[in-house]
Amino acid sequence: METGMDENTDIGIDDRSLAREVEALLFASDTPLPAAKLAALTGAPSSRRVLEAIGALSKFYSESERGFTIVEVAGGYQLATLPEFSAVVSRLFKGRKKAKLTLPALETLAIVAYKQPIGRMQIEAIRGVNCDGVLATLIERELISISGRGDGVGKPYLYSTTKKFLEYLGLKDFGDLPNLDDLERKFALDAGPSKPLVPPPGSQTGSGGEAATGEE
Amino acid sequence: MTYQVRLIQFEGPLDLLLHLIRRDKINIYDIPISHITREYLAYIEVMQELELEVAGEFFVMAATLMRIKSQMLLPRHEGLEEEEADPREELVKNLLEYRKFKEAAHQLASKEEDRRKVFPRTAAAPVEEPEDEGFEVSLFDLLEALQSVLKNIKQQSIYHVVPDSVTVEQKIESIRATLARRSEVLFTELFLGEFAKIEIIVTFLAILEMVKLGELVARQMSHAADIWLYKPRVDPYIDANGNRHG
Repeated sequence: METGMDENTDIGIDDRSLAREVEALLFASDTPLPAAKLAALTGAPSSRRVLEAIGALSKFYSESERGFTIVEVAGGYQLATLPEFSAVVSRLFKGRKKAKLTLPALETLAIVAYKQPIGRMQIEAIRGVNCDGVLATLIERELISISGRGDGVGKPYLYSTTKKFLEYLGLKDFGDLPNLDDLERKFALDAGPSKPLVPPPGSQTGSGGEAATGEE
Repeated sequence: MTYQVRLIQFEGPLDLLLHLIRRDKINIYDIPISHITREYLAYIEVMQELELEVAGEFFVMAATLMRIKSQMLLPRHEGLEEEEADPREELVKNLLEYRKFKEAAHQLASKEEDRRKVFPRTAAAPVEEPEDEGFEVSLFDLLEALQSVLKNIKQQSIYHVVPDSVTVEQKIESIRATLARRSEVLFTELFLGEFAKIEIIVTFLAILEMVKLGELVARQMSHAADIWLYKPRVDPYIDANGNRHG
């Protein structure tokens, strides 16, 4: 947690009570609390003060070797156990945890996350397979939801990710998603195109039979 | 005799093609189309021999590959070469796009893995006090609710002739019994199974009486929303004037 706090800065009495209030709120909450909300609830003068308090708490937890810390997720903060205790805590929740997402589900989720709002047809065009089942699973797990209707025949449903999606994957916000361009660059290394096969836009209106066949 | 077959599960035709491209170290930007078509068809054949259900999309792709293959065989116009689109173009675009999201999915999987090692605090939301839920309803709201109950019985148009045996006192006792079992009850719930107008009126009078006695609190989240009846938390037998009832 970067709060810009000096190592030796002793938090004042005011801040200490703010830190304790923040701690109490995080302890009682069942969802991540945004800094602005914490500020509003505590009456702290600014979100920055709340972030400082969170920083101080995190530092305190790690210095006193607690089994949990404060994590930033889905635009807010929450208390969570440390990864090193995953085995023992898993034993507590044995059989009660939902199954991991399958690869088709993750693929579909990735497409929705990057291209939202997006309709089923466009998702299927990218994956090349029917996506009815996976979409239903993702909706049931509340990771995506219908966010509107698109133009075109039948006004198809459009899907977007939910706040729970960020929570489920432990992402701070959408900026925390893997960068798509980086993914592309990663592949550029394994088979560098000597001459790009995909021509620049504008030259595609050639007389090639490709466009006329339209087999999709 | 039984034997097991392990086969890589492909999610779809694009997935299978990417697998073949990787396996045969093919440059995705310059796919040898007859080679890839041959390998692709061979794979589908194996799947069919194993009596695996081959999704329709796999056959569509097979047709696409064969179409591209035949187009590649057509002589290309020397002069127009620059402008003529490569028959593989669309397929390559699809493969690149799909590969990107497949990789993204793998990265999300590792995020998922990391997050599953961490257990957030999941305090159960505290039980809301009725006082925090909505506002107290007025007599008019109650009358409105009664009207809709009465309208309902009209629609059912069932006529019962019942002796006027139920008294307000008896009804109060029965509502008390209900609220002894549960903390709240839906206004309309108290009228379930009552078709005779007189019985509904008696029930309604019982509710009014109990509200007056302070034994019941009626609340709703918004106008026209369902009305809930709660037991108040203070001693129900003492009214606002401090007089003991019941």
